[in-house]
Amino acid sequence: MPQQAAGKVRSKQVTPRAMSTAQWDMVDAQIRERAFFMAGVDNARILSAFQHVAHEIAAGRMSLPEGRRKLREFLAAIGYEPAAEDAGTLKDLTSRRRLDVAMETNANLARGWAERRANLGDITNPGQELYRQRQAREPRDWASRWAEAAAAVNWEGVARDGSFIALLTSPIWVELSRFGYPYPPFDFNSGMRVRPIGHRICKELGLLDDEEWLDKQLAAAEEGLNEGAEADCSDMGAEVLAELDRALGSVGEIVDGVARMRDVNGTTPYSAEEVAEVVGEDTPEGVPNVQRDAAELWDEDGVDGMPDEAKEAMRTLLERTKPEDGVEELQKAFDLDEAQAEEAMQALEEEGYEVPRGQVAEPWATAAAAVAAMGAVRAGMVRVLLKWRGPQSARNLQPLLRKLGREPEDALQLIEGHRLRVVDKKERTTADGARVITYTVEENA
Amino acid sequence: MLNFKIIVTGGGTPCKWRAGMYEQAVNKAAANHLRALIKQHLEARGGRKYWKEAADAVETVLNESGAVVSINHRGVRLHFYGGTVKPTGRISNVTGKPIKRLLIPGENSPLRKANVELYELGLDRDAVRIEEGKLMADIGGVPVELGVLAKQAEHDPDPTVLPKPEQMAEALHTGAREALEILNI
Repeated sequence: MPQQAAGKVRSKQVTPRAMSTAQWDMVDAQIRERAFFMAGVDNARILSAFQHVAHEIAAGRMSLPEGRRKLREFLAAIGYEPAAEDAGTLKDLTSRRRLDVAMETNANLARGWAERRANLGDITNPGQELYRQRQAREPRDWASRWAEAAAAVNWEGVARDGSFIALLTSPIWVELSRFGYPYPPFDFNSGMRVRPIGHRICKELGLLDDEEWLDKQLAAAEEGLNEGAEADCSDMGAEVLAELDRALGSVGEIVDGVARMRDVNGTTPYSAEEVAEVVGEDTPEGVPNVQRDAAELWDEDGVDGMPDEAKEAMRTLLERTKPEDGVEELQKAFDLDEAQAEEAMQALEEEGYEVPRGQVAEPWATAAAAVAAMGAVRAGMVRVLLKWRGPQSARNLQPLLRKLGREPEDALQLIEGHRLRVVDKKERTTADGARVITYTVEENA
Repeated sequence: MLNFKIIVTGGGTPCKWRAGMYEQAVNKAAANHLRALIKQHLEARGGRKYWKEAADAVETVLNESGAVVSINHRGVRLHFYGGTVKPTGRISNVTGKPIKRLLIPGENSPLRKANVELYELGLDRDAVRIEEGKLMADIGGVPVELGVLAKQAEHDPDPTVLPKPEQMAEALHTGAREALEILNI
């Protein structure tokens, strides 16, 4: 609270959304998770090495020739040898063609996702255009492919003027992609990319007639890399499915013949209990569990001293946890001296209350008893009691922490970026002459 | 590194916008316009692949103090700031000894054309020779210059790697202005 008292509460809360180094590490974790999922019973170790190199290339820390050298060294070290009939072909993991396709495709997919995320957050460019960025020796027929994809999605969000323009949220992008993602590259070794198309042009093309376009775009901006990833396994026999289910471990599950990623390291929303199930389980060897690791660090020592990547993982964990329903009130209390209290109250009344930047989240007690446990106010001190009425965004990490063998306090979390405003103030003086100021606060609707 | 900060004042908060989202929306729009400008600029530098890959690698990172534009592609930093490149001393896949000199491939070198390292041409130690400071090899019976050997290479800074500062400032302003118009502030 004294930090707020110092006037550090500001309405500007830029939660990092673009790709910082820490976030790249998280993407790395998600990609490795996906690799494991896609591979099924394949060798996760080799895939992990490929994904790691792709990540280094995407982050600008390695060139393609360096990546090839590293992977060949790795493959030699683990004794990999292609079958005699596969040597030099695409099936040979050490062949240049195979290495380049794997590294470039994965690095570019990671970049494509990062770019899409940035574009979805940009309300001035609701559309994008497919264009040829680099020439290909044998260009694919993208005009036909575009027309077929547009027809397949019933031209939803697609311009009808003959251009390759569509809304970012149009399903055409997934339809267009060989990989099933709404971002480039849309095929192996493809030179086609996307560029932003502004609000005015989209409006002229009739793409913004749906009044919900902005809501859809903002909702899509919250989606993670592996959200909704699944594979149809209905053609597999029961024994193979059982084997696949076992191999997927906590990373995926088989439901009605469909293998679904649980998105352990990602952003798929889950209730507090579901988060405990998904994040609290052990992941298979080679697949990290960055959110669980972060939650353990956070529970041990709080946010102080946490590395940036752990903080980022903690933010993602809290944001993916669905807000707790039906909570009537949460409380938080601060005992301050007179000067601190005056400053704090002024900041609170003028600017509202939010978690200090960088703190990720802070606990609010679920029962008045927890605040009462603070005991009587000491003489000369002022107790500022905040009552958060009807919380809509409080997150509950207790089930996860209990699953991890911890003993969490009876509290829900207020997370960064949510501001509470004062709707009522009451003041009383205790028998000892101490002041107790009670503020009722609410979230902006 | 280019830092910018935009503070939005005035205007009511529509119910679907959380506190702080106005500023985020304006920041993101400004940053994205800047990113699009830099991408376009890099793509227009020509070449078949390198600068287009660099264009793919442009990112804007929003943080508490504004935005940082980064181009996560090997070598772009050297082009922009200039500097001295020296051998890393790693063990050569061809000679098996520490590398003491840089190999700078010329325009027609198969190393440059195929974007490969020396060992990937399938040449062993006996197949290459040094002539007048150049590394040569016989490929298909024809002598080929693979590149010039040098103890180090100096690169001058090249500010044209990025658009002019006033163009970048204009992109930021345009993005912010358009966002404010859409938000109807």
